[in-house]
Amino acid sequence: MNRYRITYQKTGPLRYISHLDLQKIWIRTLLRAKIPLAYTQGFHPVPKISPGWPLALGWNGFGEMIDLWFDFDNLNPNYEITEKNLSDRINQNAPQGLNIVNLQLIPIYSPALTTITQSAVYEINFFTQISPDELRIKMEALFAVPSIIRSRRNKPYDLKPLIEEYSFNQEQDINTIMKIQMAARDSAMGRPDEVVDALGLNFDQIRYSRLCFILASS
Amino acid sequence: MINGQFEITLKTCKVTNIIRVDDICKTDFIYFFTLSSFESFKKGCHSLNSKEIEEQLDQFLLKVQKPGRYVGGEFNSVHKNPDTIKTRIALAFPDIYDLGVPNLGLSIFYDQLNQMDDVWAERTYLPWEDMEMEMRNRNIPLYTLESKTPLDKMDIIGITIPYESLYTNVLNLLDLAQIPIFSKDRSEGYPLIIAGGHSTFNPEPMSAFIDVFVIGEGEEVITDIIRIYQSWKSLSKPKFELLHEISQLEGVYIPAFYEPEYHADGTLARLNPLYPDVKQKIRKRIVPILPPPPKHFVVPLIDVVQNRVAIEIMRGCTRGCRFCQAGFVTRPVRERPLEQIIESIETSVNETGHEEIALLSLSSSDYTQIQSLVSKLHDIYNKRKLNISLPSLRIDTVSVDILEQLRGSRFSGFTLAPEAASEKIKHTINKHISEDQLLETVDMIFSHGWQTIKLYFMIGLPEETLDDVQAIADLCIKVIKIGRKHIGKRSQLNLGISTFVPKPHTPFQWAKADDPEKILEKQKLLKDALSTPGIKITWSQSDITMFESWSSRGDRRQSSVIYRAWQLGAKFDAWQDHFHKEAWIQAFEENHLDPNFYIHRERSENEVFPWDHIDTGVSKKILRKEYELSLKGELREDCRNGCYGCGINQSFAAIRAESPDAKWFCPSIATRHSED
Repeated sequence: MNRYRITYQKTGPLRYISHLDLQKIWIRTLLRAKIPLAYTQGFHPVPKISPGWPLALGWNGFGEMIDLWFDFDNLNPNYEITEKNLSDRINQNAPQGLNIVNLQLIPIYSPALTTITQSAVYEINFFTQISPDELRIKMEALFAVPSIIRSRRNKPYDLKPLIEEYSFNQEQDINTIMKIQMAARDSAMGRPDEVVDALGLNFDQIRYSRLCFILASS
Repeated sequence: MINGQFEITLKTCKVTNIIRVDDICKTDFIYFFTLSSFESFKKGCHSLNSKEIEEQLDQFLLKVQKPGRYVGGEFNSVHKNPDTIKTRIALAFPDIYDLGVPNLGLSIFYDQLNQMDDVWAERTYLPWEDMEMEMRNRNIPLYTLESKTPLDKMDIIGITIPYESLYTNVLNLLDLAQIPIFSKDRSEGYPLIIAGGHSTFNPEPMSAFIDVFVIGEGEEVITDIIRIYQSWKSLSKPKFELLHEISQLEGVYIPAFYEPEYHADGTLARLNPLYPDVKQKIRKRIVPILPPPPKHFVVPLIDVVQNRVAIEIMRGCTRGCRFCQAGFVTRPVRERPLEQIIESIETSVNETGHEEIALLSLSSSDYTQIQSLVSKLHDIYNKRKLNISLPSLRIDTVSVDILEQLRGSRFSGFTLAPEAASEKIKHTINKHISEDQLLETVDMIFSHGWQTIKLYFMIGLPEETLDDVQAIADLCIKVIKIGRKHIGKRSQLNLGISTFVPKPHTPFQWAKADDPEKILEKQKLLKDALSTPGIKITWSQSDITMFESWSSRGDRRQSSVIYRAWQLGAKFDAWQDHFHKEAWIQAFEENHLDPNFYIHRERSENEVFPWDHIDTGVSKKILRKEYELSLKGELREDCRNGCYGCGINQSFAAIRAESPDAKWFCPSIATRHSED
């Protein structure tokens, strides 16, 4: 059994596919690619896969992550196992919008992705609905208060400590884009749409992308 | 923009009235537009192009349930360069994505048509109500999933109508596509609307809306139609010429070329062809040898009802159950070679990544090599985590052995369809499984560790009394007792009690459907007799049964009823909580028609039926003979054991002669008949 950590993009039509459906897509893609997944032991064996934090529906993911366990004993012996071969083969069998950007072997008993994920970096595209300057002023005003109390699923929480860093794009760009790094831990999960909502900027057209995860250095 | 292509559709702001650029060009009207005013006109009220549709979708898709239904992008979906394509086709299933994707008929056409270099077949399904509302509010026309092209830009739209409760959905589909609903209102600029599927063996109720019906198997005729379409389009002739040329093909029915004549009592006198060279009878089309099954199944990104690969192992059935329309309209029996089945399972599993395979046929046990097929599948796939389902097995212990071999890790229940319990009704419907045989099978199922058995029965059959229904209850009690004996309280019997609906092209086409009060009484009897732990019953809803009864044996006058019911809000009629009974009743009344005329009337022996011009190859005389035998309670053996001359062999003798290797299970007849 070998464990691989995969960084991939989830874009295009796949933006509208839920976290749960995406796991089935991974399983089917690997079946088509003829890369045997390892199965769990027990009465109802299921393929061993372990995805990172879910991405909200409709958002682009440019650095999504998933761990997959492969069972190379059942692989065609003529097939040469290299990271490039594996990722090429998966890409060829993936539906539109799913692309591997990195694949690497990791120790089999290393901690789960969701355990070591610290933060996530998002990009919010406001198109031309607000200028970068206006946005900066609004963000500064938001940060001037000691806490930003929001409510999610009827539970109050403070959004402020979840925002770790943010920056804006250059003036000469047509669209206004904010990059924001937020906490992405089990106990502290920051959502960029909550920031937009707190800013009172719920425009019709906003595009969210998750650019990457930041993992704890092990 | 206004280059040589004239692809932009101009549209007045009222949705109903569409002017096409090519129509406008015929007049000098086009010169009224300067370039800039044309642009602003276009911006104000033109229909959206693919790119604009895609942009719009991004703005609201998150508001609807399961947005993955509306975005395409599935593995094995086909994208082509439109510039290299001569003919663009939309294959449409008139219900939601979840039900449409698994449809085998459309999967066959999608795979087959996309192998043609100059043809691009795309898919479209009906949006669910939330999405429909968003689309209508934003004036987004129904589009193809692959390229997001509005349906009215297609050359041909092929709609499958497997069952009657999709009729209003077909109207809704055309309307959402901003295409006139009535065939007569569609000029040359609109796509050609083709329909097929089992319900079209009686095409009359939908005759006002469909340009071309394909009767029977479409694998060959669809390419014939496309070739005719291509040469017609290159010559820019009137639509009549296109329809006329298509009407000369075997297995094709153009309703606009016929006109019905009725007796004073409302029954049909005759269907008159309007042109001398139009066929009196339309014989269904068949393929002499089943073509290899499709290999490139589209793999949905979201969960759909049957997320699996379906492979047809055999077409047709020789059992002759008298209620079964499929059994009569899909004759003759043609099997797929064993090697081909094994090979296509292998390819499609590799191509899709599906872990579930369904082997389809009307009667799997009758597949001559069923034993070796099953043991081969067992050998190959036992180690892989693959679920193989084999429905429609005969009720005997052999079937239990078969399913035991295929039993995967998730196999939970065992389904059998005795349909009747009393000796009398078993004879009436010509499906005779002895009680001993059934109970022996049940015993084996429970003793081999299955916990759940599902049994299907029918009520409301001709000649049925309360005693016959009581027999169903008695039998079910015996079944659950066997279960309790083996596994105690864990044993579960799930009953599906459906109400019989007489279907065209079956011996019961003369019969009246049972009265609703009697059905209620019979359902109550079963409910009272079977209210015991371990038995769960599901019923067919009486309103939907009634709907099926009038629409399956409807005539041409029902087109206006369907149209009116749709206007009054009827759609998704197959969805239990959506059936809009009041709309239908009002539609019947306004059109001065009585649903009971279609439902509760015993037809006279010589009545001309609205579907008589559709020739399935089985003669009306033989169907009548079968009906009479049924009333006398006489059985007819499986016709593999002795041909009784249903007519199929004679009707298709010529086709059969062309493919002498074709194994049909019909006796060989002298070739001189082939001229008939």
